[in-house]
Amino acid sequence: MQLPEVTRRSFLRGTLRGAGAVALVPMLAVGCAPERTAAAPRDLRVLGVAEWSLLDTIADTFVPRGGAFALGARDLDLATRIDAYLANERPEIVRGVRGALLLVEWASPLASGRLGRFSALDVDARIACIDALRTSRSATLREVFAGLKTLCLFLFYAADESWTALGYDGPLVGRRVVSP
Amino acid sequence: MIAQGAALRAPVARRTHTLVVGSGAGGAVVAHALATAGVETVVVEEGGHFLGRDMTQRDDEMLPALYRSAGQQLTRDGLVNVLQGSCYGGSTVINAADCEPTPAPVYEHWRLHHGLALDPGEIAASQARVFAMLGVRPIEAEQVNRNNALPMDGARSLGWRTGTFLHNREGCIGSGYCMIGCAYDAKKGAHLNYLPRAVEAGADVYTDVRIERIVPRSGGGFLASGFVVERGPLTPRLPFEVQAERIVLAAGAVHSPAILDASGLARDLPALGRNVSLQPQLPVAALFPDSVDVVAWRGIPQSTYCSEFDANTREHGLGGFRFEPLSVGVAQLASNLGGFGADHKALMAQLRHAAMALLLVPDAPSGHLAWTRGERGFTASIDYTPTPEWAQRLRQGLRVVADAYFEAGAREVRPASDVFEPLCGRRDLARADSFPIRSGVTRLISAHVQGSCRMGTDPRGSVVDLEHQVHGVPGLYVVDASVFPTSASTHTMIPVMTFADRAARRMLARGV
Repeated sequence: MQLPEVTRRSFLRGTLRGAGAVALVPMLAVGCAPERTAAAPRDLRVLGVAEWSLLDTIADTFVPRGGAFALGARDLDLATRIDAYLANERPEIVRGVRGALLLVEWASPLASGRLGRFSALDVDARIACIDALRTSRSATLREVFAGLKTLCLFLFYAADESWTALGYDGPLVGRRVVSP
Repeated sequence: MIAQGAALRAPVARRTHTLVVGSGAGGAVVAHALATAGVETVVVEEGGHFLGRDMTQRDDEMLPALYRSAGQQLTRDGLVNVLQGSCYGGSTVINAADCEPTPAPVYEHWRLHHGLALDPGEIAASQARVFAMLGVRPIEAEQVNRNNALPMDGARSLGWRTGTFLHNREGCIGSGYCMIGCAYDAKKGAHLNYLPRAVEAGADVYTDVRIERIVPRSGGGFLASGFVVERGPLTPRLPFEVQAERIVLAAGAVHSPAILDASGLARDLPALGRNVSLQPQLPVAALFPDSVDVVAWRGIPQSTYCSEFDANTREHGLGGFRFEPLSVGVAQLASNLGGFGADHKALMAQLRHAAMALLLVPDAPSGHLAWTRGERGFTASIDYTPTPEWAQRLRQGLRVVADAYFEAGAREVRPASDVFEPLCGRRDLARADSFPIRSGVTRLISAHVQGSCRMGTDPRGSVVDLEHQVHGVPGLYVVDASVFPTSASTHTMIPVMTFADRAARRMLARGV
């Protein structure tokens, strides 16, 4: 599964170049300390610890624990699965995801009429931030929403652990490795 | 001989009479016809070699293995997800196995407006050979699952015409994973008939090989060059060259023109990469009451259609709209359903009661392509903007699909959109007229990209002639969905194979 290419382009155009946010990347890496509910794994392949932690918070907003069924993104360590997925991706896609994380952290609160960082907000405010991306008049913000949603939902529901709650009985063949 | 890229340890330099670039519906048929006629033939395929034993029935593994860009190739504005197979057998491995010929009014349209004076008898003979090779047969009534039956029951109750597809399955057990490769080899794609028979007749097939450039040689023929690529990232591993008297490009409507463009041929072909049709489709989900177990993921994913609103005419070709139930994998479905968070989880928890369909709306060929070439091959920029007339038909179609679902007992209808509120009954049908169609909001898919190397008689408005030969470049052919002047059919496998059979026989008849 790849992040949609338009999203990558939009990330690059709209979040990294257009907003001059390239300069903020080091801040994200060293200065952003999102509220964390889980420890970052030691063997991250692509993301830094702060990026992973922010992604973990975003994934928890897209697929929270509880509700119609108990399992949520954090139960599957979805942020780490996304990190592993990104390890096989093209560099520009990885840069795009980093841009999207930045945008969610700093711009989505503004889009929802709040001050501060996404990761520092409470759960209801985070939902409002993501919802503001969804309904934004900006095509770039909507594409960021669509790209992160695709990443989170596709990889969450591709995981066997999510299927029981859906009543989906999974593949009929035994699990096999795709031959080279 | 079938050589998979991973088995190649040294640069490859080959000579052959005919090089076929691409092993899908076009390339496989041509390779088979030429090889069985004794023509020395080499086939190269950028994707990998997979058979039933390799299919895991998992979205996260098979989409990257079998689809171009892991199934995430998008138009430039992100509005349409353009699906193409990228593997041994191409899209015939991952399609819905629907066998729909080109309707007669479309041929008439091509004759009247694009100068395609095709012999109906010749077309019929080619189609008959394709049907025989694929084992085309009707889908039996007992093979129609509930996902396909429910909306058709609704449509018929409303007095609308419906039908059941012809297909190319044999021994189908109804596992439901056609779109990510049949683990039982019951779907008879080109990887199970045309290609192995071409190999039996002496053709050599290389998978994991990308051709990037074709250069005419001073003494005649061509030099095609590219790379053996690493499966997955598609990065170059080894140089790959073929000297050939004839080259048949069958890399699909996005990449055949890319190779022509990279070969410096665009200057003399002003229509190259233009006149692209995507025939976009809108996914629509319907939720039924808890008492109705749809279990859409089992059974043949697509077996029925409602054709009441087809409007195929000689003036415009394929027109109107139709809807066809289709189920996809859980992960794909999840990312297509609107919303997020607790609301989205609540929807997913009702999966057993969810039906799914595609609203297919034929379009005028209005898109165009551009490409950049990097270490991982060509990246296409697909520019495509639906016309207001198309958008109006889509909204009309959404109303019709929803009406059929409500007639069948659905309690809620949800087109793929992140902002459009679900239709909760017939009282809501009028809202379909305001369905938003824009990127980041609407999720359209295209499984039938066509055009870009349009067939015609005038080099100013087309790329290949009626023999499939590139204007002004003898010996260079294009045989895939890119040659269709307008959308050929609601499903393009049979039209492509029919054209390919005709093209190959014409090559042989001319003794070249």
